[in-house]
Amino acid sequence: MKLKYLVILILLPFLLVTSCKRDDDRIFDTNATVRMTEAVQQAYSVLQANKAGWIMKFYPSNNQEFGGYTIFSKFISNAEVTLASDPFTGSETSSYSISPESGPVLTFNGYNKHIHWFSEPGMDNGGIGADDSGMRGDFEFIVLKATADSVVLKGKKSGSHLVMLPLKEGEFERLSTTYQEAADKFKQFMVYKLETSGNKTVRLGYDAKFRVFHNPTDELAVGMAFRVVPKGLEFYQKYTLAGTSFDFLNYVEPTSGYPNGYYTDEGKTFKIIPSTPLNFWFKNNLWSMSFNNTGAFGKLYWTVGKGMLAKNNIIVNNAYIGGTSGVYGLIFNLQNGAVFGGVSHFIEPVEDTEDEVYIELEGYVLGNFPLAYWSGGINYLSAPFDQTTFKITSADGSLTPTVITLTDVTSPTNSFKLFLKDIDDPLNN
Amino acid sequence: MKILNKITVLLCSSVLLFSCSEEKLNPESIFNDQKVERNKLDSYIDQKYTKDYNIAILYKFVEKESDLNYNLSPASYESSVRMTKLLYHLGIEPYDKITGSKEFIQKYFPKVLNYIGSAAYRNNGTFVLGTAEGGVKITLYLLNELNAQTGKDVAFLNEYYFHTMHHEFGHILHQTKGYPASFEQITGARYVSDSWNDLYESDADAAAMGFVSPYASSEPNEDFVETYAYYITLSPQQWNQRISSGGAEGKALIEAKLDIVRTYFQKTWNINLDELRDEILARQADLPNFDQTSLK
Repeated sequence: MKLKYLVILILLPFLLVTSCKRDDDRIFDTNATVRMTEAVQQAYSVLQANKAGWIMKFYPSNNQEFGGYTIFSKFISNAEVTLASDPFTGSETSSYSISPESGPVLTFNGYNKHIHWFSEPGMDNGGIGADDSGMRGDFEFIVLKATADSVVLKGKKSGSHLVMLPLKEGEFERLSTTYQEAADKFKQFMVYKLETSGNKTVRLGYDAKFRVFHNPTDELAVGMAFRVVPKGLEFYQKYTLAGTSFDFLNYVEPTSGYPNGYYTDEGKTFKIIPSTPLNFWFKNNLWSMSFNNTGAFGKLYWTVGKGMLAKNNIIVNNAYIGGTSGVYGLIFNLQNGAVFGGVSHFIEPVEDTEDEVYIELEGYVLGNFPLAYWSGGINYLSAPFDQTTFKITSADGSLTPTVITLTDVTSPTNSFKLFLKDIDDPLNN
Repeated sequence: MKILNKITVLLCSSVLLFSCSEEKLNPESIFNDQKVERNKLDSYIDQKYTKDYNIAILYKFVEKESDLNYNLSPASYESSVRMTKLLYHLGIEPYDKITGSKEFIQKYFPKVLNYIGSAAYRNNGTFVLGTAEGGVKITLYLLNELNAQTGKDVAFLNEYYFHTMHHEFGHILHQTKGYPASFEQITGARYVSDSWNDLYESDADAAAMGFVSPYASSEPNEDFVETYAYYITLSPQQWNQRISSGGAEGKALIEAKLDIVRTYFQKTWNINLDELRDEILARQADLPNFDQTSLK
């Protein structure tokens, strides 16, 4: 018995000491906070180290339903970044930070339209996407990896993975300009047609607000999201159109048969042809109206309006109809330039036509137009357009005319000759 | 027993040995604040707001300080500069002047001002203009609408920013020292909680029922601060037009409530409401000459 106790006595301290010994193998050498601080520092260093900047393919929503864009960035200090994206021209500098959260989080924390346009509510971005969520893009990204050859980001809200690739000296300025020029050229056209063998053409499903084509022969097929790049259109993934699989379409410069050029796949099996039908050309420009260029029916209303406006001391310097910067309606230069604005109207190209447009009062105030002016006589200038379908004719037969005539399809005496150039004092000219 | 005693001694000694093996704490903190380059606005805020009043301005977007229910945009640098200068001119200095020192603002004004570039849009297109949290923070939205033109438009500034600011500040003041219960008896049966939005189609409809705005009819505290905020930001003519728009009966009710607000500010805070209004109006009138962009 004694021996047994002795053995226990000798072993017990060793057992106790062993159990208390901290000799676990640690997975990390340092604690989480130290590693987070290092990761934040690493992200700051890598982003600023490439003085030439970075390029990023950006599909704002993780479903790609708004299409894709290209964003250029240059982190010029640990607080400021210069950004350029292809929907706009030039670049802007704003603030950013990298903070420790669920990883190092890169936040573009000062407003810069080149990135925040993709995340701001639809009420602020020109009506793309829902009023409250817009294109659902991010301006806060978790930095998953930051090395000299790439920075991998994950959108905090969308969860989309994005990759920033390093640019070379001078590329930020050069490439951002060429991408912006390509995008500007692309958005001039409102309609894209698919031409297949035998010169058969069909209009592609396309809304100029989104960079997505829809296959007209397969309505259930997923939208084909793309970015506009200097050499053509780069698609998010491989899609199939007219039996051909592709992920890039090359742009071919204009020819006599294709005055706006076209996009085609590598095997040249189909063409996507840009065009602007007259009804879209009308909708997206501001056209000058005037009394002398108004038909007999419209003159009846304009005469009443003219009297009321004079009585209410409202001076009309210019009167326009059409669209500018994503808003559409009747727009006026009033009170010798002190007021520029008007009232929004629906201006809708009639489906399956190229030269018919439907106009109806929508009723939102545009610019600094005082609502009292509407009932002060402006409403009479709008009345002949309201709830009416017009046929558009080009004065010189051109596809992009500077003078057009709108004629009410049900009443030929309701017509308007419209001009791209300004007409001063439109109620007396 | 002897053996048990020995075991106890050994156990105690091993525990003591173990407890003595504790590592020394590293004196260096693991929380390292990143040193970020400071700009002119940072210095201006430090000098004008933080040093004198212990107020911080979050003009760079901080997600955890924002309302996560909304999709928001950061404020631009230019609009932040304009707001910071305008807020000092129209929101802080008038109180300093009327109270004769910086102490009043120092003591009662919210300590955090949070700037947001967009409005807080709901999915039906309506939006929130401003919020206050527990007397500590005021969030101002729609900063990116502030520019050279709107920065001089008094009606715009009041509607989108300063009415909100005075409204929220009013809450802090009455939560600190309460107003007389007689205030809520004047239109006691007419407070409608959240139905205010559906009940009145115009300001005139609310004025007819004795409220300075439809929102004032939600509950007495809102009524109190709405009356206060409108009174000190509107000219006497504009005020009179607003309260008269619903007829004589409504006007009399609003004026009765204004008397209580006026007396409360005089007796509780030693602030003459008319003097405060005159000071604010004078500064509003001088806006065309006020430099909103230089940060010297």
